[in-house]
Amino acid sequence: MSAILQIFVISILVYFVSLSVINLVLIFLGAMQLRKYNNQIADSDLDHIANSRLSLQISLIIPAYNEANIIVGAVENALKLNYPTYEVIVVDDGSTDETLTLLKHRFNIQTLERHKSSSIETNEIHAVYESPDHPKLVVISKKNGHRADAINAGVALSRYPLLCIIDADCVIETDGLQHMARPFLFDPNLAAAAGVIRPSNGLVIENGVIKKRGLPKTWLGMNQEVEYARSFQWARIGMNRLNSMLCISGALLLIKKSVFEETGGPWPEAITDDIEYTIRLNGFLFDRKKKRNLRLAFIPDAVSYTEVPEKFNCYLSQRNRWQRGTLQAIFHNWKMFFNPRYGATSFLGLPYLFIFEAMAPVVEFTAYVLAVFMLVSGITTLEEILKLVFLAYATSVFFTLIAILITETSRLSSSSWKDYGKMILAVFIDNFGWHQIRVFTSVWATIQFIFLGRRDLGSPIARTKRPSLIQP
Amino acid sequence: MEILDYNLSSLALNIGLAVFGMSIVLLVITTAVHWHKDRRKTQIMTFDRINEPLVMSYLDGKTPQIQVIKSMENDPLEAMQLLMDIHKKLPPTEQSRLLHLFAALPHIDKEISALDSPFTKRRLEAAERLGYLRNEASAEALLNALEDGVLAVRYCAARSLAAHGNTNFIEPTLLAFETEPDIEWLRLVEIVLDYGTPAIPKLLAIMESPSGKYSNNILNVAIRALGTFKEPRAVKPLIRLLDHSEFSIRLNAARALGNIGDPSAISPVAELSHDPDWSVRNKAIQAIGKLHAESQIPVLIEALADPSWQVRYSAAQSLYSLGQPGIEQLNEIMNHTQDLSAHDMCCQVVGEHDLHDIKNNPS
Repeated sequence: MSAILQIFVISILVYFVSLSVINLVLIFLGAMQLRKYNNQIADSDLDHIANSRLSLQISLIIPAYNEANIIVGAVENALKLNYPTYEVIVVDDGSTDETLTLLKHRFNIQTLERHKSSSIETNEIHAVYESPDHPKLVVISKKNGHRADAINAGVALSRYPLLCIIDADCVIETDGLQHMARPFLFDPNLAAAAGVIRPSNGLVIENGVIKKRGLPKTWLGMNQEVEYARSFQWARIGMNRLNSMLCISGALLLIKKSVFEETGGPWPEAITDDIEYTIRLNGFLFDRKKKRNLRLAFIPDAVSYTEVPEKFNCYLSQRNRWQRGTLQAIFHNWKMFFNPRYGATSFLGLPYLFIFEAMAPVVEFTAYVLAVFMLVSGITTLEEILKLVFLAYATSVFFTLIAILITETSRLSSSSWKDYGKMILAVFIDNFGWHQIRVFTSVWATIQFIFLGRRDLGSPIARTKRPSLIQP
Repeated sequence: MEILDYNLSSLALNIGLAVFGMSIVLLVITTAVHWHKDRRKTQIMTFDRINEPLVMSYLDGKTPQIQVIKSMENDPLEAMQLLMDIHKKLPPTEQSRLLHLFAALPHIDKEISALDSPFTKRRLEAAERLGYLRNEASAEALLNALEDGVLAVRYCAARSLAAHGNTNFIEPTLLAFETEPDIEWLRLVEIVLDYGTPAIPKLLAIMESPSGKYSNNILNVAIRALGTFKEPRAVKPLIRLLDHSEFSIRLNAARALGNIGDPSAISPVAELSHDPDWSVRNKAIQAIGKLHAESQIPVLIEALADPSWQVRYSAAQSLYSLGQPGIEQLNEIMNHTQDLSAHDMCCQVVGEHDLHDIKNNPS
């Protein structure tokens, strides 16, 4: 009995050490990439992009379902972006609230006959609207499908060669599209790019423009602020260096329309369409048989701010959905696992996503159960458990602080000493409860996905009402 | 009793303590970085608050140059940044006075030697700043920087050379990027456009040069820039290029001819409406609209049945841009055609224009 338990404990330790070593490698790779990126960006690049009539035109697509609380503010923000030529396509995915009515009143949109420019299949489109007051704005009203179906409808009616996909709760800085488009303007082989995502809960927005950055007011929000920093400041950029960035958030994706059409767009049945689509996109780009010679970029200074849940039940629901979505995306693309045709994506990216992201909560939960069992059975001592817990805690704080250090050297640095102090405090207390809640939620979601066959999208996040600040 | 070997659990504790110690060091470094950024931000704000009004006063002729330079000499890097920021906001007529201030900055000459720095970022900054120091030494250093190992530095040097405005730099600039696969050729067009209309003779020379002297990319740059400048002398050579074997040359020649608007291009451009490449057909159809070629209405109607959505859309737009005769044709097609895609496209384009006419003419 004791020998079996010992094997379990050592396996978990090996898992933990492997994860830490991989994280160190990713930090090193991410730091190299960041340094290269920062060294090669000139201050004038963005001005040139903003003023050039030759900058690539962009269709900004915003899928929206029951977003009446925030939709007007989101569109105002999108219309304020400083970019030479772009259109904003809002896709009302059969909302049952006042999303469409609010858009009609605020932007004076009127029906217009507009037909699909691509062959991507979507649910029925009821009407297309444009506004004489806002020539950049297009609104599509369609029968409800999932978020992926709404994105596909937006793409089918888009006009421009680059697509930028964001969520309705996202806010972008006025120069956000310049940052996103910059690598595409220089690199003809770049197919898609992802940016950094940060919580929007503490932002001060005036007339659709971000005036001040701040932090969420609740500790649940702060916990997510730290988590987003850790997730985006080095892990993704390091994974991208290995052609293994398999999770591009739906909150900010820029992709060539031709590539989007060839891949067929996101899968409407996916629980988290962004993760599933990213895996498939990687398979498309790095398919050795096709020799497409295309690239995927992570842009560390392009930021999209998204609303994170500050109510506990919404938070749990979101985490549950993410965990089930990750598992579904992995299983849906299982043929890519260890398939030489997809190179590093299949040997590094997918195994990492499965073993160290999707399965991490299960391993950690097992460790907790074992610890309690062994303690109660007298197989181990509290002192021994505390030593191991301390090692895990110290490692977690170390990796998070690296993310904070990178953040502080970037343009996302804390705007005041008070915010900086709050952030540091959040780093040290994240592991006392919040982290464990995430773990337990993910384990429950795994059980629901594997044993109960749960595939629904869960309950939507209740949005904080964001008032329109532009007077009609 | 312990599940792990005592040495192993002690090792775990020691590693944990070491990692925690490193975390504390990281925390100190992070705090120092935050403090430094915060302090620098305050310094820059103070510097700008004092010196920006002085620079504006100098531009109004109220403050002597020496006083402005003396005020800025304690922070040369921020002085350059402030002048670059002000330069962007000024109308072109007032920008040249600001350049005298650049030339008078005490450390500006160091930027020339900085182009040889081992640090990429330093070379990039120097290449950017030398765009504002318009003397021979600066130009020569920038020309050398066109051979830098890093593409971003080469590109920045090319833009700075364009800011100098000497059109003799056009050819070396284009040749420096001729074999570079990692840059979109449109970025080179932007550089050439920065030279303004004085670049036209050089571009005409490139376009009329013997076949094979320049790559297709360079030829495309010249064609696109001449089209943007709407240069009538380019019409004949552009018409000759409509038969080029490379599709991108045909496409850009059609686009340029549409921009220039010379009626002699109408028939040759219309012939491209049957090009095997849809993007070339699309540009030809757009050019017919820009050339206001009523005689080509049948070509546009035929293009409404093109397999490409984009070509059909451009055909309907071009018909609309012809004014009354084209709009009559669109209405005729909307009412009588059996071709559903042509019908839908006409409805869409007429609808778009009607909607935007409401804004321009509310009655």
